[in-house]
Parts: sequence; C-alpha cells; structure tokens
Amino acid sequence: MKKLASVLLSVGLVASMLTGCLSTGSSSKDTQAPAADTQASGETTGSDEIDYNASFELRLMTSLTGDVRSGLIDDAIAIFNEKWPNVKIVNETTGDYSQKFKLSFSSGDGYEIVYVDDLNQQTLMEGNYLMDITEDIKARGWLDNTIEGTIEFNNLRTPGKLYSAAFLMAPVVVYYNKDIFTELGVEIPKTIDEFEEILQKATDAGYIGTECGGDAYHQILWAVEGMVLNGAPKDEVDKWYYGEESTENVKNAFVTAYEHIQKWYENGYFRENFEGTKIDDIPTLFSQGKTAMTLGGDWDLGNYNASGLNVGAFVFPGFDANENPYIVNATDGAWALNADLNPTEKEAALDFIDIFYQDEYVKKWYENGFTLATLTDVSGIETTQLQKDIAEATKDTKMGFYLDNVKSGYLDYLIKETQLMIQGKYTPEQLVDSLEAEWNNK
Amino acid sequence: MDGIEINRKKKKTNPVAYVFVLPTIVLFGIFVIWPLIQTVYLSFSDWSGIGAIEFIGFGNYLEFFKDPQVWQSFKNNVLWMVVSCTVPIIIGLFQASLLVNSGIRHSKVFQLILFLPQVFSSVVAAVIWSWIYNPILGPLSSVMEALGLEKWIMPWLGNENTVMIALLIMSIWCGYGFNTVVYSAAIQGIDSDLYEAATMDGCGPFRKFFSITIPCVRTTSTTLLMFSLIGSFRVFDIVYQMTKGGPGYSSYVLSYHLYNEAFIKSRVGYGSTIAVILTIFILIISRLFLRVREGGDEA
Repeated sequence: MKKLASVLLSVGLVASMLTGCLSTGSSSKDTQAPAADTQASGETTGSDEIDYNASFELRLMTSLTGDVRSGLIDDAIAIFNEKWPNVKIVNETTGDYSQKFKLSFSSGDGYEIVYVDDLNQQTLMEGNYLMDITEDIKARGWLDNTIEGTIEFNNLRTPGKLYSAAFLMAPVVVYYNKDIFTELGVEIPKTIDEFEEILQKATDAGYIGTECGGDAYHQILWAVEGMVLNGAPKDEVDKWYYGEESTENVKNAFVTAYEHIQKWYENGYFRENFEGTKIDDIPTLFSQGKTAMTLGGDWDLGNYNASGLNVGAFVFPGFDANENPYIVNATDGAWALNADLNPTEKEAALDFIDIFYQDEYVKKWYENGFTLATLTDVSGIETTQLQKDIAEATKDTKMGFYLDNVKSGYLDYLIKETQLMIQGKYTPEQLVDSLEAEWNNK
Repeated sequence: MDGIEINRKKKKTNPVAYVFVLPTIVLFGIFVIWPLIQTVYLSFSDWSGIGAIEFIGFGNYLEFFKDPQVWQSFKNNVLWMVVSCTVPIIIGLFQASLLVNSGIRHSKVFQLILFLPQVFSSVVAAVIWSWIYNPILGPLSSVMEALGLEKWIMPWLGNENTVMIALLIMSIWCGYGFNTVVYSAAIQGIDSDLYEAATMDGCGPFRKFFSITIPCVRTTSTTLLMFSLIGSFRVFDIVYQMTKGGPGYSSYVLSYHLYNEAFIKSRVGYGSTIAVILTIFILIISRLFLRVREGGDEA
C-alpha cells in the first residue's frame, strides 16, 4: 500500500511539473484567431469575412528598443485596438532580437509580426518563415506613401516581391561643432579631400579632428563604408553585398578607404587613447567642445542636441563634389509577417502596420528625432535645427547599405580586423585580404 | 540475531526517498542531460540556428584544431588559470591569517568588506571596471593625471599588451574576498594548541604561518584551486562585458569564442563543438586534479 501510494505520488508530482513546464509554449495556440476560409498567402479576404471582434494575440518582435520607441509602439497599439478591441498585441521586443527570431521560428512558434533588417529578413526568408505581402503593400498604398525605393530597399534580393515594408530610415551623418568650424574658417566639405583638410586644420589648432569608440570602431567603419559606396560602381558594391561577386573595384575601394583611415590615425586626427573608449562615450566626449566633427547615426540626434554646443550635421562626402554621394543609409528595419498567419490574423497584422503609414501617427516618430521613409509633410512640426540639418543634408543623397551587414558576424570580424590594422598588425592590403577571405567563407 | 535484523532494516531502501529525489532528476534530465545530448548532436552538424540541420561528421572537430582563434583563446585561458590559481588564493590566505591570528579588532567587519566584490554580479563589476579603465573619463586616468603620471595613461582595455592584465586585475579583485572568507573559516578551525605549542618552542609568526597554517588548510586550498581552475576556463561574462574579445583577438577566451561562433556568426554547430571539447577538457583537468589531491591526502 505504501509502495502504491509512493508511486502515485511521484507520478502526480512529475505530471504536475511537466504540465507547468510545458504549458507556456501553448498559450499562443490557445489564443489563435478563429480560422476564416482558407486563403493562399498574399490574398486578402473581403472585409465582410473578417471578424473584428475576434479575440486572439499577436506577438511583436522588433529591434525598436528603448523607452521612446517602446512608447511610440504602445501608442500604435492603442490606435490599433480602436478597430480590433479584442486583439492583444504583445510587444516582446528586447535586445538580441536576432537570436529570439531564430529560436522562435525554428521551434515552430515564430512571432506573428516582426521588424527586421535586411540580414535578418534574408535569414527568415531562407526558412520560408515570412509571408509574401506584395499585393497587400500595393493595395494599401504604402508604396505611394513612402520615398521611392525605400520599401524595395529591403527586398532587392527578391525583385518583384515584397516581404517587408519600412517606414524609417537610419542615415549616418557627420555631426560637427559649428563654432570650431567658424573659428577654423572652414565650410561643410563636399569631398573626402576637403574632409581631410578640416581634420588636419582642427588637429593643428589643438582640437580633436574626429571621434571613434574604441570598443566597436563604428565611426571608422562607417567612414570606410561611405568611401567604398562612392569608390566603386554601385552595381558591383551591390553584388558584393549580396554575396554574389567580389570584384577588383570593390577590393580596391576597400584598400583606398583603409589607407585613408590609416593616414588619419597616423596623423593624429583621432583622440589620443580612443582605443580605450566606448561608443557610448562619444556624445559625452563631443560635448566637451574640443572635437571638430564625428560620424553618428540619426539615432544619436537627441544626444547631440543635448550637448549644449552649436551642433550641425552634414553627410559624409564622396570623392566627387559634382555628384550627390551615396551615404550609409539603409532602411532602419521593415515590418514583416509570419507566413503561417491565418486570414484574420493577417488582416489584423496588416492593420497594425498600416498605422505606421498614417501621417498623424508617424509624425510622432519625426518629433522624436527619427528619419521617416514616409512622404509625410513635416513642415509644420517644431523640431530642432539639428534635425532640420539632417533632413536637408540627406534629402539629395543616394541610399547605400550598411556593408557590415553582408552576413552574420561580419560586423564583428570587421571591427576586430580593423583594430589589428590600427595596432599595426596589418597593412590596408593585408586587412582587405583578410576581409575577402572571411567574405568567401560561406 | 538482533544485530543482523537491525542491519537488514538499515539496508532496506525507503521508496519515499525516491519520491523526493525524482522531481530533481526529471528536471535535471530535461534541462541538463537533454540539452547536453542535443549539443553533442549539433557538434556534428552545420546549423545556423534556423532552418535545416546538415550533418557533417567530424568537420567541426577538424576545424577546431586548425582554428587560430582557438589557440589564441587557449593561451589566454591558460594565463587566466595561472593567475587565478595563484594570486587571489595567496592574497586570500594571507589576509585570512592576518584577520584571524593577528588579533585585529572588528575582524568580522573587515571580512564583510573584503567579501563585498563577491556580492556584485559580474556584469555590474565589469561595467564599473570598464569605467575605471576608461582613459578619458575614468578615475584611474584622473588619479594618474593628478599624480603627474599622464605619460603612463593608456587605453588599458584597448591595447593588446595591457588588456589581459587589466581583465585579470579585475578578476583578482572579484575573487580574493571570497577566498579570504573561506580561509578565515578554515583557519578558525585549526587547533589553537598547535599555535601555543609553536609559541612555546620559540616560533615567530612567519614560521607558524608556513609550518602550521598552510599545512592545516591544505584541503581548503586544493578546493579553492579546483574552483579557480574550472572558473578560469569558463570565464565569459567579464570578457563579454568589457572587451568582446578585443582589441583584435587579444582577450579572446574559449567561452567567448564559442559564443561568437554560435550566436554572432550563426554557426551553432561549430559553437557546439567548442562547447563539447571545452566540457571534456574541464572534466579531464578536474579529474586529474582530484587524483593528485587524493594522492597527496594518502601521503
């Protein structure tokens, strides 16, 4: 009797434990929307077939971290719930979203709505995890509502098919201290040569030419990428980025770019001991008022606005003053849908994304310093002069990829190999050979 | 007869004991054994973390032994082992001896203060030390400037010659307090008659330390050594937070290399291979160490 009781007790304990451990994965299935008539992906159902009172959950995973962006997404959710009162959108965004994508989709429990950059979009598309929403994007007018080419930008590898839709851009610009420029008697450079002249003048005058975070070397890499985008034919750069072909022109553009960087380092244009600083230190260091200029993303706008200095922005120049340069300015990310959504879920998800193309809502992003990809009239919005500078500077430029996004881990490899060059372990040619070898390493 | 019956009763297993152990075993199986088996399986595959898993046999293992980053990481781990198995243990033993045997007042307060670094999470400690080492904004540079040592300021975490030293200093700071507390308990357990006898024989404090204290805490020392040995090959959080293995690969360690391959480069298969080899290596080293210790105990 005792033995029987023991066995029953242990079975009961294990069963309750396993039930508790395994129940969390099934919550999304429990709250799935009722399936409407079966529809092929890409086809929209008639609105009279969609149950707007249906109760289910849509999970969101994005790279839009931070209090400001989370708050703006919460605002979008509130607007969404006016039409879909019983649909719960759960924003599960955290850092390291790339790993979360992979884990969730490979385990069969992929997020319903994702916000992906180009690299992550390719990763998910290789597993057929994303839905073709070409017709939906066209039907909802998102293409007409955005700057030409921005929605296509994330989808260039699938010509004619759109799997994602962007609403923000992420330009890299050069923030500069206007007072130092005035003191030095220099103007915004139109070429790399003019840019280097300013670096030299600033250094000679006892200022710091430019900043770079020693842990991540992003400022150096953005400068390299800017020079490569303008130093080789665009179609060859694109082929390199798509992993199709690495031409001599592209390799030479990288060598030239790194030769410039090496010269900047040897001439002392960077802050002394910058190798020991962090990328997060850059706005603080810049705000000390001793730095002439520094590369940064539009996401740094708030930091430079708060510096207390007279700060302006211009785009990193190309080699030819007569050409509008390519700049590092990919779409920030783009909305995409899980390929397994049923028609009701899909309609709800598209309605959520549609909010990001509504002018009244998306203006909030602009007010918070983000660069819109939408054709929203922002002329009446009160913004800082710095934000106006960025908008003015980038309006005539041509979009270029973040070349470090060519494949997983390439950014980290670029950082480390560039650090080795700065430390004197590599010449620019040897560095580019090393980058080429890693590029070829499929 | 009664003695035999008593023995039989003692040997009879109580099934209720299994009831209490079973949940732990089940959890252990689900969260440790099963993932371990999966990791071994993945180590023979090429997998990016999403999509199909491609079996490639021993390809990853062959790559491991040719990978230059593995050897750089291994060198750093060995350096970490040498330093962490000596410096914090010596400091801990010396401090504990001072606190217990030299009659310092309020020694418990000192023990608490010395133990404080152990209370911080390693990530918090890494953030603090990253700031300390910042050559522009950090207090170390400010102090050096104030002392007229500006020429010696350098990017401690950004220079290949100083990065490992900087990380090891931080690691020692994190570790010696724990050793002090453990040694304090061990030294307090030494029979005071031994010290009295030594005093009567005319031994000074150094002689007592080397002839009584060190031999009597031998077991504690070997235990701390083993923890340090294992810890030196498992180190990840400090490197991840402070340097990401840089500058270049000069602060790469095996655990970070594993992370980089699996989660940054999306080469989960190769990362699993590193994990398997690292685990086997630590098991072998630990087992050898225990055998040496057992041999010493018998002697």
